[in-house]
Amino acid sequence: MPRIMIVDDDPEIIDLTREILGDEGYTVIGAESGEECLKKLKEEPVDLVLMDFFMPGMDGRTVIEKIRETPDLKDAKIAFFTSATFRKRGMEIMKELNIVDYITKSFDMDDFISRIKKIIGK
Amino acid sequence: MIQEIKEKADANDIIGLVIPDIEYDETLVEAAGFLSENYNKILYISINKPYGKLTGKFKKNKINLNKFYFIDCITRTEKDVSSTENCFFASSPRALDEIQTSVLDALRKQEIDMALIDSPSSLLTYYEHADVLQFMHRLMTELIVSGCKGIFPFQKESAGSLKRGVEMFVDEVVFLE
Repeated sequence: MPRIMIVDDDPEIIDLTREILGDEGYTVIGAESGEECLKKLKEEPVDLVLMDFFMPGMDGRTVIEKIRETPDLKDAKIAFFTSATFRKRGMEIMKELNIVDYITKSFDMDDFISRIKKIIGK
Repeated sequence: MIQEIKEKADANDIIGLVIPDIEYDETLVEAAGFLSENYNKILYISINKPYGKLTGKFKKNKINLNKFYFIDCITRTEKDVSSTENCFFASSPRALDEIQTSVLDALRKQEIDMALIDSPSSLLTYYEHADVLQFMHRLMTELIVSGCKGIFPFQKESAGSLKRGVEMFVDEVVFLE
């Protein structure tokens, strides 16, 4: 079963995403902060990390930079899953950080699932 | 330096400015002078500089005050003042909803085509990093929707990680040395 980590400070978003992706056969692991994400990733690798941007403590960019700095995690597949709108410089940073996709939270469910499948390659 | 700001502001909708701390205030006054000559009306949101002090500096530098509409977030924390034709006095830098409403109101009524917020990192005194980031994001969205350009300056040495977060929402960052 492909494993997906949802990093979001809103537990309702984690639950909703778990339900949607769970129905598609994915195992979903939730992390409510950047710190929890880093800790859990070190314990159990995943096939994809869906990262929120606005979070207390570390924002999404900072968490991703920390993941990329960690030898065992640096190649993790990461997509932003956020309500934030990134502009030109934000898009450049996403390339620099090797972010595979940028999914907004006002998503269409079918599109969301098809993008996840495409990213994971299944 | 000002030429670089001009080029980037012309070419983009939203830019970040990173200014060495020691030159920060002086550079912003210079930038205000340039903006007054190149834009119809500028919204100057001041988080920590009182309107009286700012306009005094502008006058000293022969900057046309009629080109500005100010939102002053600090004066009313010290004394009771009423808003004027070219300045809204917010009750406090803590009053993010009030500041946001006053920005929307100014964008609707003042034919503003450029906004400058001085400075986003000042809000970190009152709010958490994530709250300030979300507020900046909302401001930028409102500017874009209103067809208004925006400049978000940061002190190079003291702005901390906020500038790295805000960088995601801008078109370009200009590093002034």
